[in-house]
Amino acid sequence: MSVSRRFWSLVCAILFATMLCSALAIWFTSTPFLEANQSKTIQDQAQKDARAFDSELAQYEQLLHFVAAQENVVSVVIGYVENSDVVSDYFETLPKPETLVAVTLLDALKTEIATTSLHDDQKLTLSSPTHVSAFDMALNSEAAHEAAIVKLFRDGDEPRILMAVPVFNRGFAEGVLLAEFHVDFDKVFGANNVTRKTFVTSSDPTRQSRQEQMGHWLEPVAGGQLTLVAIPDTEATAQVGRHLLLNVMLAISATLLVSFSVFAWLGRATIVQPHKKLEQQKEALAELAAVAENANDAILVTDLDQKILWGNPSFETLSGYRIDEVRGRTPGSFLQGPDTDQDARKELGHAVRARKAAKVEVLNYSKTGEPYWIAISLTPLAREDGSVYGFMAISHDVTLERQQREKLAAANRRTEHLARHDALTGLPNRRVLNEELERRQNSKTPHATLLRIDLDHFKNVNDTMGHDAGDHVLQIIAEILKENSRSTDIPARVGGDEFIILLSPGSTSEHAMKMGHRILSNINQPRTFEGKPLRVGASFGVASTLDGLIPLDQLISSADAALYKGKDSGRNQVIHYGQKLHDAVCFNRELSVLMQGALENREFEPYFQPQIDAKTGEICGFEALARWHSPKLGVVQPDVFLPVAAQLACIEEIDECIFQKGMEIAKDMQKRNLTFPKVSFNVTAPRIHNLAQDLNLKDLPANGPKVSFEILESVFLEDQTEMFKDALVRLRAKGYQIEIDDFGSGHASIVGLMQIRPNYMKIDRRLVMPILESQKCMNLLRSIIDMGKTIDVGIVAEGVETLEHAITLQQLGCDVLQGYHFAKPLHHPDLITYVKNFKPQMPDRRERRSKSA
Amino acid sequence: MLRSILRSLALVSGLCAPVAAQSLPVLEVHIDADYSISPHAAMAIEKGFASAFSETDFEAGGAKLKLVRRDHRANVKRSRAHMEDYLESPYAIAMVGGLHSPPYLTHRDFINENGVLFLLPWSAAGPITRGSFNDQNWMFRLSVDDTKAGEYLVTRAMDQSGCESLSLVLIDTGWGRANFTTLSRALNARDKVPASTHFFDVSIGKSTAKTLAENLRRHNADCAVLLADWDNGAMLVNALSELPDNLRIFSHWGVMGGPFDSHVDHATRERVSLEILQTCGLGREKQQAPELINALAQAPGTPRALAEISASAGFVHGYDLGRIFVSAIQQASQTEVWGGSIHQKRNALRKSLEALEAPVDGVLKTYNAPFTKFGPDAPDAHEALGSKDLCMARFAAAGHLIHAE
Repeated sequence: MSVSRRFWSLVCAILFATMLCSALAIWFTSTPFLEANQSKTIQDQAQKDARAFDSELAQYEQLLHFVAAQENVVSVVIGYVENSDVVSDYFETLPKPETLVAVTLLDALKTEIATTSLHDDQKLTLSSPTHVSAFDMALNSEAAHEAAIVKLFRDGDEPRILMAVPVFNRGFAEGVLLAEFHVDFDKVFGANNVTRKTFVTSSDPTRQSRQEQMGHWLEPVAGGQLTLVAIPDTEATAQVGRHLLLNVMLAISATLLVSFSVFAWLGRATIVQPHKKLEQQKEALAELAAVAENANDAILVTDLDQKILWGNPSFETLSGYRIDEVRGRTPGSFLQGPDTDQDARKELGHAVRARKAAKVEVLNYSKTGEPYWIAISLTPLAREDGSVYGFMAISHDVTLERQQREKLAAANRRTEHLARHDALTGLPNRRVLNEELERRQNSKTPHATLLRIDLDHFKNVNDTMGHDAGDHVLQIIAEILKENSRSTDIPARVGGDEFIILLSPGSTSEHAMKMGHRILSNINQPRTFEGKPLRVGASFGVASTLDGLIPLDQLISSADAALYKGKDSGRNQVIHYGQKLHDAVCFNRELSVLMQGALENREFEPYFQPQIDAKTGEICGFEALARWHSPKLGVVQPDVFLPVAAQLACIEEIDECIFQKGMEIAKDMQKRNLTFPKVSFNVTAPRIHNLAQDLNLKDLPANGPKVSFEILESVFLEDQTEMFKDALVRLRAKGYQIEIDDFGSGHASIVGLMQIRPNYMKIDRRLVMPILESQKCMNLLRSIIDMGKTIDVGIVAEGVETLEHAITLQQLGCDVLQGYHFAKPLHHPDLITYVKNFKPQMPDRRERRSKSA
Repeated sequence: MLRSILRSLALVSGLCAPVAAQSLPVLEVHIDADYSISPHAAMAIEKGFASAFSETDFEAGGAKLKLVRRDHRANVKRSRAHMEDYLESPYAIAMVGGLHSPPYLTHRDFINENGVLFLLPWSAAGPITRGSFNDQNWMFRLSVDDTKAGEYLVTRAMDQSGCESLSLVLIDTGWGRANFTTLSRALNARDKVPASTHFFDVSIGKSTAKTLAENLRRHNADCAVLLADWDNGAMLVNALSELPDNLRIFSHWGVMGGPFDSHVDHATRERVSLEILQTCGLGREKQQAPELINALAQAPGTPRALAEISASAGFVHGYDLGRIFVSAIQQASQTEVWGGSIHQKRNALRKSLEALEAPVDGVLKTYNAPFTKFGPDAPDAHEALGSKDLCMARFAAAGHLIHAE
């Protein structure tokens, strides 16, 4: 049986025994008390009833005394006045008890002087010895206020009270006032749980003795003239006693239960639980001993002076020493040797002195002198009161583990280096750079200055001299960067030919500019690779948060902006991200923001530049050109917003907008019956694909204006894929024309042209504008025109600035002319006006010839 | 306590009867008086008779005279019982009335119808002696007659003492009511009416007395006539003396039946200028009348002066009436019927009283035929005294009465 069960059984048994003993003790001690209490209760009830009865009688008596004391009653009694109504006069007006039956006034000679019947017309006469006796006793009263004479008699079965009070005349009883009252004992005494019945009898000693023997309680009433008899309700009083006993037992049981519960709770905490804990500890110790004995780990137990007390077999195996040999010795004295780490020894020594636990790895030597590493866990052994009495050292051989760990650490170090450095140049990579920037960002002074480097035309090196030459160049650049930066600077390779030097904290953009110029100067030094000259240039962008223009997180992008500014403005230079550039960037950023809204609000409007038939001088078409009607910036030209649109990759959306609006205007012009034979839209190569796949793109009606898509010549160079060609075919099938824009600015091949077979070639204005001054240009233009005619492609000349241009181009055989000479691009209202007022502007060739002649 | 003493006295009432008179027949004289409440009057009467009988050694008409106390305690009904006892008794020759008039007013017809020979030395109600049955009137009085007293008191108050307005304070009994008639009549004769009339019950308390006094004050009388027994009277005088105005009180002698003087102190009596109606016995004492000296000498306890006898009027009247009674017996005993039944003796005695031949010397006066046959034309036939025999008295500081001039 467990301790807990034994404890609870004992507690329950004692509780039960205590309750039983308490019950018996209460039973034996309380029985006399209860009996006495029962007697007292009956006595109290009887006395209470007696008081109630006397109180009732007192009312009667008071009334009778009052009447008897009245002067006119006295006068009547002593014969001075005759008045037979003197009694009824009073009793009919005074408040009187309902139980009053009749009243009679008698004089000293027992003559009835006045009488009144208040109940059932019963007359009160001296009809019985009781009445006569009451009269005589009252008449013999010596004082007016002596207690009334009270008698009990029966009228049939009904008990009645007869009360007699004397009528005094100046100190002498001269008459008697007799009164009879009904008496209902049940009503007077009421029901209670103490007595079975209560009634009043005449005071008869013999009867009283008999009643006392029967256990009835007697109580004198009416001043002893009558006796109240209370017959105890023994069963009820016994039941009350039993209830009392039961309640007491319940209360004591509850108290005992509470007390024992508290005792049990405390006992459980102070006896059972410690006992259980001891048992558990005992079991645990036994288990621990077995575990220790059989453990693979070596275990040593020492006293506070580190003298060995006990060791397990594993220790013997590990160290080669038998416990008997080393008992009483300190482990350090024979296990540790010359190569044992002094720090580890100190840590162990400190733990011993501080009585604290410690975990260290330490080099030990076996009995044979062979070194081995162990991981030792030193734990102070403490008693329950916390006092330390020794130490336990658990150790196991970690020699192999340690070797593996060291290998792994070396491998990790290598991996870590590779992860953070560029393999080719050995420079830190973008990760290192980002970590440093993040560190600076989180520092108290989040400032940094960096130099961004991008090699110019590095692709050419790779393409022309091979990748080995490219790698050679990159390694040279890395060396230059290392040489020209301080040890606290971080030069990093962040892309193929992109480098960044993050200058050490506190460096300004001036430092960076100087460093950039120095590095550029080094880079520009002529070099050779495998005997071939090798020339490398580079563009630099410098940005610094210390200039107060940008926060740290915009540092790289700002340096980028400066770098590309350098690239755009001739390369091989160092550009500082200064106020001006910052403003431009901010403007572009604002444009970007505005452009988001512009696209949603369709703020882009088509402007139409007329195209003139060179032969007839009539309008033969319009090129739709995009203008941005910005509510904030006004009308923005494409050269301003297109670069931003390109960055946002929303050119196609702009084209779509222009296309839709242009088509609507075309319809409008047709409705207005204004000349609008053709409209051409500039498109990008992706848009060609999308248009071709757009199911909503309707076939062009035969009676409407022609629609043409202008594709840059450069597009052909890059996108002459089968898909592209297929797209063009599908567009043509729907009635759309294809034109090549800015012909002459790119590298379109004749073969490509032949395959595409555009409707028109639009010659780049840069070829058209100089023709008046340059014969070569004219010749070139003539050749292009001839080529176009050869392959049956119409020629459109752009950049027709003057009449001379127009005449020359007409003479050269251009089909269509377009330029400021005819009109600038026109917004819709101006277009309407222009068309309405248009008159053919090209003079007849013959006419001109004659003129020129 | 007092009652038990009196009861023991009654048991030894034979003290008045000589032990040696065993051979003579006994004639009892029953004194029907209030020995309990107003004992002074009863005792004074008894002393008067005893003194008178002593002169003949309690013998008269060949018989031993025996005074028998019958205490009616002012209870009319007890008095009636005593009368019935008297009628039943073979020895009872006469009854002597006490202070109270009501028993005899109430039972006057019974008395006359049944032949109860009554000698009345005190009770003063006018109608008592003015009834008859078969022309027989069995009641003989030697006392104040209220038919005269009313007139006398009004004369004393209004004519002699200068009262202007007179209130009447009367006990609510036949006696009081009879006096109301005579007093009213006397006032009417002077063209006056009572300022107020106040009847009170026979057993009043202080509060009733106080209320009555307050009521009286509202009528602004300067004098009052009081008809009361001693205890009610004492309470009323005390209450009336507390009124702010000095009311003067002229009292019937009913107040002398008990220890009135000890319940009303002298200052109070003086404050109300209290005068008491009396017969002129006190005047006779002042005159040093030898009859009075003799009477006192014969009286039990041998008092030296009337002041030593409470309610001395009762003594004087009792003595004078006792002497008339003895003289009447002696005269009756000379008749043949005297040897007859007790009833015959009573009748003979009645007749002798109505026709007494020898003058009888009394304290108050010498009585020549003090009683005559009663009839409508002789309303005063059974009155031994008249208006001339009335006087007023005042209380001395010591508490006894003194003659008032």
